[in-house]
Amino acid sequence: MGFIKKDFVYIITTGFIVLLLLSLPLYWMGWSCQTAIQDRIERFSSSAKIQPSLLVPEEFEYEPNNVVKHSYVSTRMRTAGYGYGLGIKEYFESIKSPDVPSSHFWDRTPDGYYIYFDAKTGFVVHCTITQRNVNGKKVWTKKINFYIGPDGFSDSRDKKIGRFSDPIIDKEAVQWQTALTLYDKEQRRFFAIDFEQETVTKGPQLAKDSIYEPIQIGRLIKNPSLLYLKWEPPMTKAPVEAKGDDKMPRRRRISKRPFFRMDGLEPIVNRLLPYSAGGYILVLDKTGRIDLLNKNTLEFVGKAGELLEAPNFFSDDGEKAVTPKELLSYEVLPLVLDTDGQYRGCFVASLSGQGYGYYLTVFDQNGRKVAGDRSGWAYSSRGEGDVYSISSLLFQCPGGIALTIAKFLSDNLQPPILSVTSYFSASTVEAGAGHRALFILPNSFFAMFGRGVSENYIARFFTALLFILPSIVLSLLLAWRVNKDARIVGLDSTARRWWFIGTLGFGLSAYITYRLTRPKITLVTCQNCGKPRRPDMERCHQCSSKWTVPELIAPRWRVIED
Amino acid sequence: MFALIKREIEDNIAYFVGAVFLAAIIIFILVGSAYAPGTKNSFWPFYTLIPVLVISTAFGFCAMGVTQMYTDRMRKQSSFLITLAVTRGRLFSARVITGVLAIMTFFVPVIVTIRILLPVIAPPIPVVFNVFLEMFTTICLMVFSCYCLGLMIGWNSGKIIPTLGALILTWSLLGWILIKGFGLDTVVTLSIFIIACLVRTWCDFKSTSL
Repeated sequence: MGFIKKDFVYIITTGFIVLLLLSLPLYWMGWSCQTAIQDRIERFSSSAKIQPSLLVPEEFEYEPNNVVKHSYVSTRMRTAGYGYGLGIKEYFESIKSPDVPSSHFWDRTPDGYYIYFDAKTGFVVHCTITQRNVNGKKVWTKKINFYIGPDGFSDSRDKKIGRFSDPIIDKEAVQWQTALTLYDKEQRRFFAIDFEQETVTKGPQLAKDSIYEPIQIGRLIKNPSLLYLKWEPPMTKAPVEAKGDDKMPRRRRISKRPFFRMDGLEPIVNRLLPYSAGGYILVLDKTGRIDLLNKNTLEFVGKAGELLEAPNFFSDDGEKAVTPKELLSYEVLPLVLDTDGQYRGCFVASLSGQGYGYYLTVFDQNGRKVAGDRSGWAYSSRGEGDVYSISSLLFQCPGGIALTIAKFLSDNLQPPILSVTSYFSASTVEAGAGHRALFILPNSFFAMFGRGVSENYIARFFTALLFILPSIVLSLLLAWRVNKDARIVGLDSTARRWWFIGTLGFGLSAYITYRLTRPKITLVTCQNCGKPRRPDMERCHQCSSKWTVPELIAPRWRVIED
Repeated sequence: MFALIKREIEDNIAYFVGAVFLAAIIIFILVGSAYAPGTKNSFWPFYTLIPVLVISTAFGFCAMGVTQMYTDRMRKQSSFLITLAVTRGRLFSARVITGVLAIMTFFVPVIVTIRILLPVIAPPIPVVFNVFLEMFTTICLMVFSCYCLGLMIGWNSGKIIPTLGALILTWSLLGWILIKGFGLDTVVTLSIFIIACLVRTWCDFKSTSL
């Protein structure tokens, strides 16, 4: 009893240290497996492709004497690369991202102006920053061009222009246009900032109970390094004289004709501007819905599309709408042709939370889904056609089985209690954060199986326990050993019970904690029962016999000096 | 108390000298690259020095923590000092304060130098200062965590655990920054880890018979 009370803090602190230090090598083990699996999937999966892309007018797409190759849209996973999913990489990428709440967005326009949001003052700052050499020293000079608030422009920090509090910007607009669209979360309205006219236009305020909760505007993209979305227009044969000298190096030829291709084709029609939606701006909602916002009136005019689920290890559907945080990567590409500048629709590519599968959807200008395709794998050597199952792909590509087993084993070295917590909380963890999680693992097989389940909940949970069966068996074995050793060492029944439950819940971490905190006492043999007993206790903890201290009786023999 | 701290500094003077020497080298490199003529982007040495800075200081101060506790246990310094009516709490506090002073000996000059050089090497926008603050807060806490880990491991009578154990666990702990990056969650976790290490080390130190 004294052991548990006196050393409770000691045990808890030791347990925390062990849990944290043990989670690090387990994380690297799981990360290596995950990265290798994603590499396999990326290498052996085929692009999701829709051809023709269905948004180009028929007069361009199906002109019989002209079209040689139809337009298409395709998506595939980029190489995961080194450092994928690591927090340090995400940290440096998020510094420049205006979509991350903790970032302080800034951008540099092609003209050399800097635009950033100063969180302390609440202004958007438009400034010119240059670096000059003055007397051999490098000097940065900053000239504030203007401060921008909800109520206008100012040369100084004037309270009259108001304050922004939590803005989301259309970052793409900074690169291509002179206007900037901004949504302030606290004021719940859109603003259009025109740098040339130096005006700020306010849109109508969204009602508090409105269905709209914008989280991203303009270029809708997440983790662009992971997903590759491409649209190509319908092609026709280029004129013969434009081909040039076949012996000329390719680089020189491309610099002369921007749209010239090595296959002798040229586009019939092209996009107006990358990521331009014509007179609209795409707005991504918290629920995954994509809406159209009129650039001039700053009002919502309708739905443009939505994010759909990509295939993962246990689900190949791809038809369910998902929220942005459930996807590891997504990209939305609106289509506006250079013929009339009208919005035609958009293409949406999504990468599943685990990074295993991707899905491509085409939405028309009314926001209706017109086509969809998912990642797959071609059995080219066996001639059996495409397979649209991530699990079958993993079990059949080279090294897939070994990697899956390795990942399964690394998942099972985690404490069972954390695995169960992962099962119930997996859907609340943001996809990217799940890849750098140490304690709650939403990408473990156990958690993936339970993600987003709404029916047969209890039956599914007990079925899912099979995924952590090795972990449960290991915990039972360790708990038995701890109980046995605790009995020998002389811990009371309450302490033994708590250690048994703790080891059952925390597995290897609890066992190591026990070994580090168990009483370091040399046991002596009890004269009554012959079992090891603690010398610091009055009675033997095995047989409850008293501690008999032998008397100092002189021996019968004597040493006699001659 | 001051006498104890002074004694600890004298016993670990090599680490203080090493910290000053390393800080001087880093300051020299940063100042040299910031004012080097014709260099377009003088921010790169800053980025490349960070991993060197983190790894060298983490292992260095972990070694200091191990040395402090291991030397005490082997030479029974605390046993002697206890006879002079000094409490264990003061002994332990003096040790930790010495470690903090050694860490500050390195970081304060480096951080002040970088802060002064920031207007030279980076554009004057708020994000730069905020990134600098977040990064160095995390790095300082990480180094202090490694020092506390060294204190905890050093109170061990064996030879393999203080040396090999410190090496492996410090290397493992450094991975935390790679996994989680800089920022609030790393700061909070490291703070809890530091408290846990100090409490555990104190419990060990308090309960061991001297």
